[in-house]
Amino acid sequence: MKLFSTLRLFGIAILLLAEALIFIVSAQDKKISLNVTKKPLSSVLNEIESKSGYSFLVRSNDVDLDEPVTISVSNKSVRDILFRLFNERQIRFEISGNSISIFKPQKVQESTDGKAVETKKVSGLVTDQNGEPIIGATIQVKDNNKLGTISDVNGKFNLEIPLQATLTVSYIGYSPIEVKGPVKDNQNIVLREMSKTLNEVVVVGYGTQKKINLSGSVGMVTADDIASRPVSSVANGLQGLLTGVTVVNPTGQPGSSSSTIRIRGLGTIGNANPLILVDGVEGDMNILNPEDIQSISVLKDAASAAIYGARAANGVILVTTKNLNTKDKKPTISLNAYYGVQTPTRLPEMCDAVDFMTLDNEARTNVGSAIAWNDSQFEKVKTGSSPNYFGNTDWISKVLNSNAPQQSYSLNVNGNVGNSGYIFSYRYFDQDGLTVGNSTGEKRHNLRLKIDSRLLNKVQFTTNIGYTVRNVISPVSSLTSGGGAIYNAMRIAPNVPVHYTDGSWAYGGGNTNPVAILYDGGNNNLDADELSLMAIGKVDIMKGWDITTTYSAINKNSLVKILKKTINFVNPEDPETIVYSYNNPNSLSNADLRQRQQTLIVQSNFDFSVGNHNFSGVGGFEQEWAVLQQFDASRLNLITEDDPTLNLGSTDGMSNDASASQWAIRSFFGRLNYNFSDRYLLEMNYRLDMSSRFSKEYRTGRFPSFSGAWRLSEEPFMAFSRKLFDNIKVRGSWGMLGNQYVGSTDFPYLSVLNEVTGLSTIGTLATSGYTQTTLANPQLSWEKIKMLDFGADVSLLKNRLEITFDWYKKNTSGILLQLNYPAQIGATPSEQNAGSVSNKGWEVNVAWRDKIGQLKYGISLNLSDVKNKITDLAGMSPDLSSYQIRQVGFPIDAFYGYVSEGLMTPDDFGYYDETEKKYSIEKVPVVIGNDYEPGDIKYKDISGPQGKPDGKISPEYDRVVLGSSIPRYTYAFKGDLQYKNIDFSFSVQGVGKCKGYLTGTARHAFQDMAAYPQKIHLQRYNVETNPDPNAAYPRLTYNVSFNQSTFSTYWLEDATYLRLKNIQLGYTLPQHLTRKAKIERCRVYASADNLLTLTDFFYAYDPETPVSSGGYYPQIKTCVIGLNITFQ
Amino acid sequence: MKKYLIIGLMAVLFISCNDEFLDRAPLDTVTNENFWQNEEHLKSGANALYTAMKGKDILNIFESMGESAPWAITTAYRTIGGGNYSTDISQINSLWVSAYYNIGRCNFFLNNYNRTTSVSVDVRERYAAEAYFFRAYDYWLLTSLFGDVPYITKELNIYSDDVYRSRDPRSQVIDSITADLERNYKNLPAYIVPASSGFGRISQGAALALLSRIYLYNERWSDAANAAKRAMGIGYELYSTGNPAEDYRNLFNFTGRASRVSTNKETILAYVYNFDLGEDARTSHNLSRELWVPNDYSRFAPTKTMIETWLTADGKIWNPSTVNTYEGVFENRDPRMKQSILPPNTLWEGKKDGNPNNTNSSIFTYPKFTNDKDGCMTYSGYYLYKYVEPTKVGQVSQDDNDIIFFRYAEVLLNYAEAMEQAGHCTQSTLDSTINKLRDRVGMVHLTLSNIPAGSDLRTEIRRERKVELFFEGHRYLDIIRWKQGDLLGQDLLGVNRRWLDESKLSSGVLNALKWKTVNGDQYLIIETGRTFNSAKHYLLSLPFTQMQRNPNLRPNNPGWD
Repeated sequence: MKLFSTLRLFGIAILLLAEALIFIVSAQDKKISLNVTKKPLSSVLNEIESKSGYSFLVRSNDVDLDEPVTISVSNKSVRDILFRLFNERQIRFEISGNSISIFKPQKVQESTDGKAVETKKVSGLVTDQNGEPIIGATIQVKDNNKLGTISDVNGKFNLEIPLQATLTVSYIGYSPIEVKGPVKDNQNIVLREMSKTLNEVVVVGYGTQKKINLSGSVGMVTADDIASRPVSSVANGLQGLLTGVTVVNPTGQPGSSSSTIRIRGLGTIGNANPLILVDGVEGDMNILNPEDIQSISVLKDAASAAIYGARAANGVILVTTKNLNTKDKKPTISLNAYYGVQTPTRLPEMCDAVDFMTLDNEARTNVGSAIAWNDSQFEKVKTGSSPNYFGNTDWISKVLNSNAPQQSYSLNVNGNVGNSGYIFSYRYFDQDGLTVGNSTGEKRHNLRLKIDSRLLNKVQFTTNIGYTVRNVISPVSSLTSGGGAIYNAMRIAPNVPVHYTDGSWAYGGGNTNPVAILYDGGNNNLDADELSLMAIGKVDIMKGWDITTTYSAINKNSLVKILKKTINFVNPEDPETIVYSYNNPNSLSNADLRQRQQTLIVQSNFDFSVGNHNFSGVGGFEQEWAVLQQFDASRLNLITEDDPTLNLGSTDGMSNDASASQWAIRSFFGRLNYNFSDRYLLEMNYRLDMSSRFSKEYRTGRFPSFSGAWRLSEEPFMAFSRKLFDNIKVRGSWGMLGNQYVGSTDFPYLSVLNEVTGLSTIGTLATSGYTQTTLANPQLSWEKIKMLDFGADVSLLKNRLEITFDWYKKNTSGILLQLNYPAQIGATPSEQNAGSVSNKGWEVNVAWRDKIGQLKYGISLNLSDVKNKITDLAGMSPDLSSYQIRQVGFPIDAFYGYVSEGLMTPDDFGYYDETEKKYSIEKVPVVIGNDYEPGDIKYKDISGPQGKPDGKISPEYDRVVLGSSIPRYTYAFKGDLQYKNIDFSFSVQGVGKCKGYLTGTARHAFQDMAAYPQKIHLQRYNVETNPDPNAAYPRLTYNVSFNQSTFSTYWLEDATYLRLKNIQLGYTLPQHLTRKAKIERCRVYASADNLLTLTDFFYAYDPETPVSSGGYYPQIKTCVIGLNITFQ
Repeated sequence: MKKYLIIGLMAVLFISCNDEFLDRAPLDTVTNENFWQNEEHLKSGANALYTAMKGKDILNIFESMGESAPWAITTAYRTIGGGNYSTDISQINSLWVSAYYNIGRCNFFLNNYNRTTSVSVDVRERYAAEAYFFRAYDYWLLTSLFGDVPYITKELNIYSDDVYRSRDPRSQVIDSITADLERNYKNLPAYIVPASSGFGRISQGAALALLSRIYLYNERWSDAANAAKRAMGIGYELYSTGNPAEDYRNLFNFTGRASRVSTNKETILAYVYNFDLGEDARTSHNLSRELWVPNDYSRFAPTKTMIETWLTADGKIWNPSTVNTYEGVFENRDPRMKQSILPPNTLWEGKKDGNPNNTNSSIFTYPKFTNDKDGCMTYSGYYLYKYVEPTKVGQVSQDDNDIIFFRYAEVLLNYAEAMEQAGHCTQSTLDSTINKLRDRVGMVHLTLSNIPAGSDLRTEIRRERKVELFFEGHRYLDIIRWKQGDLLGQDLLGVNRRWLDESKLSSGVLNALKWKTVNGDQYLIIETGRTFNSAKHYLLSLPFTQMQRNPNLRPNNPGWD
C-alpha cells in the first residue's frame, strides 16, 4: 500500500500539473486469481498490484477508492478482472507497460445545439526537431480545455476527441502548434524549440530573471563561450564577447592580471573599474577556473546596476559558478585537458652593431658632435676580432625564447546523494613565460566544492568553497612599460656581447646585461592562496516567498619573496677585477599579505500573481567589511643564494615594515517588478549605501532607478506580425549610481599623516618623519552617475534572427578630481567632487542561428560606440604641459599637440653654409629656440595672438586636440558551425577608431645615451641618401630631441586593429564507439588565440596598449590541442 | 512566518543604529587628530621637514646650472644655466613646487607643534626652530632664483585665499625669514658633535651659517658679517690632520666625513647617508660612481674656466700659455687643485684611461675621450677628484658619503666677503678667514699688499670662494648675485689641444673631437650656443604652470613675458 500511495501521489502530481487526464497504452495479459468480499476498492487494487506486478495510476476525484467491492475470479487476465470490476461503475482503465491507469471517462461532448457529437480515438507521438520524444507535452482539443492529455515517457498519447476537432500541442520552451481537424490517427507531431534567449534566465542583482522579462540592459555569456579557449584569465576571455564591454590586455606575461575592463566607456577620471562579483560577493574572477563558470552577466544600464548602488558606477559583472544539476543522480565525471605553445606577437627589431654604429655617427654628426666610432672599430665588429667589446648581439632575441608551453588539466565530478547534490572540480594550469632563465611563469591550482542539501522541501543549504593556489615567478624589476629586462634589451648596445670570451657575463654599462639579470639576478616569487567560503541558507516560507541568508568570507594570503642575487661583472682581461657588482650585497625580502573580506547578505524574494498582474521582487540588507595587513621583512648578505629563507641573511641591516588598511560598507536594497500579462514590464530598484570611506555627514548615498518595457509583439493588434516576428520588446530605463572608490587612500576625508621617505639619515640612524603630504577634504563624497538607456530586443524568422539595440547617455558628476592648484597651497591638494564627464553611446548585436540539413551554424556581430567628453572641470584651466589634456568638450586625456606637415627639406631654408654644412634662415614657421636642419618636423601654423597664423609655431596657439586613445567602434564577429561530429568556431574582434602614442625608447633612437636604433630608423631622413619629406623618421640627432619630445601628428599612431581572437576546430567521437567505454562524450580539438592581427600600428608593439614607452612583455599567440571527456 | 519578519526587522534596526561598524580608522597611519602627543611625535614631525635638504641633488641642479663643472651632456639644468629655455621647462616648476611643498610642511608643523603639551616648551621650541630654519632656507632659495615670491606662512587648504596670493617683495620675504631665524635660532643646540647620533640635525651653527648666507645674498653686509662672526664663536674648526696634500680632499670622502669622523669639526650641516641600514631604510647616492664610472662617461665635466681659476702655488694668476703638457696643468698650482681635479699618475677606479700604453688600469695617466664602455671617458678632458670616494665607484648607488650643506669654510668666506663689501676688510680679516683656509693646504697667504697682478681684493675674495667651495653647489647662485652673468653665456670648453700628446692617446681620437680656437689655442668644446641676457637671466622665469594656475603671479620676471 505504501508503494501504491507513493505512486498515487506521483500520479496525482502529474495529473494536477497537466490539469488533465490519464493515458493508457496497450499492455500484455497476465492471469491471476482473486476472491474478495466487500473490501474497499483500494485494497482490491493493492492485491492486484501485488499479484500481477502492475501498478495503478488513479485519479482520485474520478474513483471512490473506499467503495466496497466484491469479486471472485480465478486465472483471469488482469484486463478481464478490471473489466468486471469497473464496467458497471462507468470507470475505465488502460494498461500501459507495467502501469494501469484508472479514470472516469469524459462525457460525450455536447455540441452547442445540444446534439451529441461523435468522438473517435486518436493516438500520436510528440517529438522535437531531432526526433527525440517530448515527455509531458500538453495535447488539447482546441476551444475545449477539458478534453486533453499529456504525452507519456515515450512521447506518445491517446485521446478521444470529436471527429472534426483541432488539437493544440504545447510544451514549455517550445513553440505551440495546432493540428487542424480532422485529426488522423498515429499522428507525428513535431514541436520546434523556441529560441534559447526567450527561455533564457539571466542572473541579475540578487536574483535571476527571464531574459524575456528584462527591462534593463544586461549582457550575458555562458560557459560555452569561454570554454576550451587557452586564456590565462577570465577577463581576457571576455574580450569581444559582450557588446559595450571593452577589455584591454596590455601584456601576455604569466600571472599578470592587468587587464582593464571598461563597461560603456570611461566614466570617470578616477577608478573606472567595474564591480566584479563572484557568486554575489566581490571577488577576483581572473584567478577562477574558467570551467567553474556557469555564466557571466554584465549589468550595463543604471536600472540593472543601481541595486549595487555606490559601487556600480562603472557597471557590474556578475560571475556565477556552476550550479548543481539536481536531475542527474548518477555521478558525471568530465576531464578537460589542453597543451599548447605560446609565441610572441610583435617585437621590436633592433639594428645590428654595424648599423647602430653607422647611425650613431650620423646622429652625432647631425648635431655637430664628434663621431663615436672609427673605421678600426667598424672593422673589429665586422671581423669579430674584439668579441668582448665589439660584439654583435640581437638582445631582444636573447631575452626571449621563441616559444613557451601552456597547459591546463581539469576534472569535474557532480552528482546526487540522497537529498544532497555535489560538484567537485579541480584544475591545474601551468603557463611558462617567454623570458629566458625560467624567469616568468605561473602555476595555478583551483579547487571548488559545492554541496547543496535540501530539507523538508522548505530549507535549502548550500556550501560553496573555492580554493586557489598560485605561484607566479617574475623578474625582480617588473616587465612593464619603461622598465625591466625587455626594456633594457632595447637599452643596451648591440656591440656588447652576452658573454665575454671567458664565459663570464658581459657588462653593458648602466643598464647592465638583461640576459645575465634574467638568469642570475634573482626573482620575484609570489606564492598566493585564496580561500573563499560561502554558506547560503534559503527558507521557503510559502510558495513564492523565501528568505535567503548568505555569509561569505574570502581569505587571501600571499607571500612575495624577492631574491636579489649578486652578479659580479668582471674585466675580461683581468677576471679578478670586478667592473660592476649588481645587487651587492645580495638580499631577500619577504612580503606577507593577509586579507580577509567578509560579506553578510540577508534577502527576501517574493513572487505572486493576481490575475494577469504579476509581482516579484527582492528586499534585503548587506554589509561587507575587509581588513588587509601586510608585513615585510628583509635581510642582506645571504649565506646562500640557492632558494634561501630569511634566516640565512645577516642580522646586520635587517629590516621590517608593515601596512594595513580596512573598510566597510553597509547597505539596504530592494527591487520591485511588475508585469501585466508578460506585456507591460515595470521595475524599480533602490539602494542605500553607507561607506566608511567618507565622514559621517557625507557617508550615506541613495541610488534609485526605474525601468520599463513593452512587449509589443504580445499585443493582439500585432497578431499580423507573428509570422515574421517572434518577439518585439522596447525598453527604457533611468537610474542613479555612485562611485565610492576615491583616490588611493581608504580615508580621503581624514587628515592623515604619512611617513616621509628619502630623509637624510640623521646620525647615520634610520630617520622617520611624518607629515601631511596630501591635504584632507572632509566634504568628500560619492561620484554620482545618472544614466538613461533606451533599447529594443527583436527576434524574428522563427527566432533564428535576434537583434538587440541600445542607446544610452551616462553623465558622471562630482568626479573626484585633484584640481590643478598652485603649488603655494603647500601639499598635494585634496581631491574634491568637481568634474563631470558624459558618455553617449549605442550598442547593437545581431545574431543568426539556423541549420541546413545536418549543418548547424550561427553567426553574430556586435558593434558599439561610446563618445567620451569632459563636460565640467569646476572652472579649472586645463593642464597644457603634457601631450594629453583634460579639457572641457574633449575626451578624457585627449591627445594634444601640433599638426605635422612632413619633414623639412633644403628648400625650406634660405641659406646654406658650405663650410659648416649648416642650413639656416627657415622659410617655414618654426618653434623658436631649436636649431633646425633638413629632416626636422614641420608644423602647421594654426593661429597666433591675433587669432590668425603668425608665422611662428608656439605652444599657446598652434596646438590642437588630435584624438583620443579611448577605443571607439569596438566590434566583434563570431561564427560557429557543427556538421555531424565536427565543430568549428572563430571570433574576430577589433577597434574601429583609436589613437596611440609611443614615447622614449619604444619609438626613438639617440634621444638619450641608451636609446639604441631599431631597424625602422634606417629609413630616417638623410639629406643625401633619403631626402624624403615623408620619411619614416626625422633626421637622427644625438642627445637632441626636439623632434621627438614635441608631440605632433607625426608621432600619432593609428591604434585600430582587427584580430582573429580565437579559432577552434573540434571533433567528437561517435557515441556508439565511446559508450562502450562508459564515455558519454569525447571531443578532441585544436584552438588558437590571437593568431592574426591586422593593424597599422607601429610594428613593434600591440595596438591594445596604444600609449606606452615600450619594453613590456609582448602579447602572445597561443595554439593548443585539447581533449574533453565526459564519463557517466 | 511572523516570527521571521520580526527577527529580521529587529536585526536590521539593531545593525543600522550601530555606527561603529562604519567608523573605521586608518590602521597604518596616524591622523592629525591623534598625533602630537609626545616628543617622539614632535621629533618625527620635524624630521619630515628635512626633505628641504635636497641631498646630492644640490650638485645635479646647481653645478649643472653653473659653469665650473656642469653635468656633461643631457641635463635640462645646464640648459637653464645656458639661457636657452622656455617658461614651461619642467625643472623650474619642480624647483618651485618642492620649495612650496616644503614650506607647506613647515607651516603645518608650526600650526600644530604646540599641541604637544606634554612636552616642555624648550623642546617644542627647539623643533619649531628647525621648522623656521627650513622655511627660511626654502624662501632664501626661492628669492635667490625667482626674486619676488608669494610669502605663505599659514597652513592652507583648497578653500584658502592665499592659494592665489600674488608675489610679495623679495626684501619683505627676506626681512621676515631673517627675523624668524634671529628670534628662534637660540632655541637650537649651539653645537652638535660630529659622529654623534644627532649629527645632521639643525644647530645654532647651521642657523647662523644660513643667516649669514641670506644676508650676504641680499647685500646686507654688516648683518652678514655679524651672523658669520656669531657662528665663528661657536667652536667650529677647519678639518686638518696636518696633511696639507690630502686634508682638503678627505673632507669630502670617507676619511673625513663628519657623520662618522669625530675630528671633522668643520662640517656644520650635512645630508647624511647610510647604505648599511636595512633594505627599506638605507639611503645612498651614486656620486662617486658618476664621477669615475668605469664603463661610461664621467658625469660632471670640469671646464676650462675652472681649471684656470686656481692660482699658481705662489699666489699668481695662472697663465695657460706657460704650460705645454697635460701634466703641466697640475704643476705648481694652488694645492687645492690637485685635490679637486684628478691629476695624472693617481690611483683611480675608472679602469682604462685614454692611454692605450697604460697597462695598469688602477692608475690614471691620461684622459679618455672615446666612450667605448671600457674605461671612464671625459667630455672636458678632466675628471673630478673632490667628492670621489674610490671604494664606492664599483657599485651603483651605494655611495653614502656625506653631502655638505654648510661648513665652517663658507662662514669664513661669508665673513671675508661681507667685510670687504662693507669696506672693513683688513689683513687680520683675511688672516682669520681666507688664510686659514690656505694654511690647511699649504698655500701662500693672500695679503692686502700682494694682490695678484691684474686683480683686486674683491676679485680675489670671490676667487677664493670659487676655489674653496668648488663643486659644492654654490657657483651658479654666486654668479647670479655677483652679476657676472656673462660667464654663463660663454661656450663651455675643456682641455687645450696643445697640451695633449697624441702618442699617449689612441690614434685619430683628437681629430674626431670638436675644438674651438681661443687666443690661438684649440679648446675642446663641451657646449656652444649658450646665452645670457642681463636684462632677463638674473632671475628665472616663473614656472609656466604656476602662472597658469595662479594668474596673480603675473607679471613674470623682466624679459620673460
